[in-house]
Amino acid sequence: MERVRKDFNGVRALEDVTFAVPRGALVGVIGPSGAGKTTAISLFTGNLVPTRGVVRTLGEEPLRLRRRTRERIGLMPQRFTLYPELTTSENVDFFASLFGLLAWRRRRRTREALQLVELWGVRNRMTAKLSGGMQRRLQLACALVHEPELLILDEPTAGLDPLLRQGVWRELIQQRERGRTVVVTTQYVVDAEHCDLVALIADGRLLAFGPPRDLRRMALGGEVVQVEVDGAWHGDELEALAGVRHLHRIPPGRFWVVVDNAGEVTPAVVETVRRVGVEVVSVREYRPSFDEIFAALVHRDREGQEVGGAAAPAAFLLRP
Amino acid sequence: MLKAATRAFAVVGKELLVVLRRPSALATLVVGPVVILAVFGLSYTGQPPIRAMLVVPAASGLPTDARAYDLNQPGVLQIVGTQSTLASARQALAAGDADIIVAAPDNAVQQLLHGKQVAIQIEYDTVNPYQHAVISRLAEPLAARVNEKIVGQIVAMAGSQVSSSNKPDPNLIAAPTRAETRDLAPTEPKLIAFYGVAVLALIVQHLGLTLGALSMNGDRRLGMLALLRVAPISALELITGKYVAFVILTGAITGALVMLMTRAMGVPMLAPVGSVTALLLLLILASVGLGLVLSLVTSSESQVIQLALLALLASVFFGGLAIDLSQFAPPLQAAAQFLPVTEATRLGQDLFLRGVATEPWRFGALAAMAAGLTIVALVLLRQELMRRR
Repeated sequence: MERVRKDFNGVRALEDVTFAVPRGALVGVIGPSGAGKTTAISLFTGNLVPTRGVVRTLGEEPLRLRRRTRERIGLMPQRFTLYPELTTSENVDFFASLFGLLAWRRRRRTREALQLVELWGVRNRMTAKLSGGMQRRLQLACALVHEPELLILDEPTAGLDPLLRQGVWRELIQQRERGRTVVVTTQYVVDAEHCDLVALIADGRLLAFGPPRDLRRMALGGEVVQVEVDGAWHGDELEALAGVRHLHRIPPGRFWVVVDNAGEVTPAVVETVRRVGVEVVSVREYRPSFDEIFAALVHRDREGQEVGGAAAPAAFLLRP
Repeated sequence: MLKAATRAFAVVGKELLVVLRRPSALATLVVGPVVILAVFGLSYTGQPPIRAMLVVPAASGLPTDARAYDLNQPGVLQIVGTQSTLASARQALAAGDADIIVAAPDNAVQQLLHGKQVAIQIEYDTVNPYQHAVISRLAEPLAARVNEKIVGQIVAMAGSQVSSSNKPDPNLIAAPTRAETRDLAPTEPKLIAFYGVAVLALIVQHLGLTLGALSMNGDRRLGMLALLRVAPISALELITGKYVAFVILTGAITGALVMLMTRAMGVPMLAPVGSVTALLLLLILASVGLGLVLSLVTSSESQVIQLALLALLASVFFGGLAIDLSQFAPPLQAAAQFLPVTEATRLGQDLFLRGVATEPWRFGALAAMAAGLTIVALVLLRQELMRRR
């Protein structure tokens, strides 16, 4: 999607969002509830039309997707959209039929899809009697049953316990490894870890788009080496090192060294501290959680700072 | 082609299972109509006969045996007895033992001989317009029968003064002619048969309409439309699947109802099975179409249920079941023709009770309704699937 804006009755849901999903990638659209994630992926499926901007799905305008193109898409909506009166396997079979799978292949694929999400054992159970986690997995099986090239999943892990969430992500990674393109929304920022690319969205704005490692750099302005010493030292020698972009002092005796590459700079940092005769307590790369990264990026965005620029990391990341 | 059939049959199977797996819905759909029809057939006894109490004063010289005044209208009129005074007859009326009093005058013959017209007093006490109409219609022949007895009395008196071997029968002079009526219809008119067919048409229409109406709303409520918009199923395949499923369901229930009607309730079915099947199929198609259209022009389940109930009420009042259509103003009569049940009731009564359709154009009207509603439903569904925000 390119420079997309979406308004609902005058209320802006998305503002100037641009990102592209490469074929075969696992892309996470991540942000808090109400950020605009579902709106974004509903534009890909054609369930919504942009107020402004251009959206293409598999090279076609989503509103006019050809039947053959639609056969290549698997969708898992956010809300539970299966028939509670049908059994687990009947629901999957129904979706397989909707996508035109003929009898023999449909039977095979229904079994495979249910085995994949570990629901084959409850294939004859009424869907209404499945637990919430099972229902989410069943919905996933319905989206997968026709072996789509593009999987669009809206909050597949919502409401699942950590173990089930891990299971779903394992499944999505497997799908990606089978060559499928997966676009998935989630409000769990930590899930960014599993994605090849992450689109961070908040308040309808795309805060950042890139690989998870790059997001960390964007949030911190680079990589961070955390130094703690015992003794009085101002740390000016660190600032002069090659590859160091910023130095943040957190008295007493703590420093954040923002560098281009922590792996390359860390030995020089250790050497410098020893050279000035101060006792080193610890030197380690600081890897903030994605929750912290997300919070930092939102903070930056709200303060009007350029994300990924050379500005200092958000102040709250520098807490002792 | 094979894929299209697969998609349409997926919808057929899904719709059948969704309905059959809901015990309450199944009970409402299958048991409900059968019970309604059975209760109707087994408990409807029709209008009870009007009970007449005759007042024959002792001095009148008229026969006091109630059987002498019998009009031979079993089921319509029953003469429950005679009283000698109007007061005692009024007591019977007040006690609910009679519906009408027909009182012969005290001295009718004397008054007539003096050139005066005498009055036969008729009294009844009802606020029911239907009973009022029936009593009014019966009052005249009852009075005529009393008249006949008075005239017979006068003729007998006159005849006693004539010395002739060919003395005419006074009763014959009093009533020289009688009406002989013959109904040319192939079956005897019976309320159960006549209204049973109308009730069948009403139940079938309501079934088809409800199934069609709730189906699309069910998909909408589940959020299925978002998936259907992305899935490669067309509006035509979707609607074909729904039609086939509901025709199967409604058809099966209709078959059971027809069996119940013809076997248990004794309603004759004179037309060939093919004609009746064609009629019921057209009715089902039109009803399902109407239901689908209603569901597509509404946005919630409560709205569609309200509209389905309104359609049911309109069908009861303007479909010719409760009140004959001829009793309404011409514009409403014309409007009522747009209800599938109106055409189906007329055709059904003809096919079941006469064996032929006396107004075959109604087949065309019903077919046009079925086709028109299908096209409208298809267009609306296509719009619904194309609708984007």
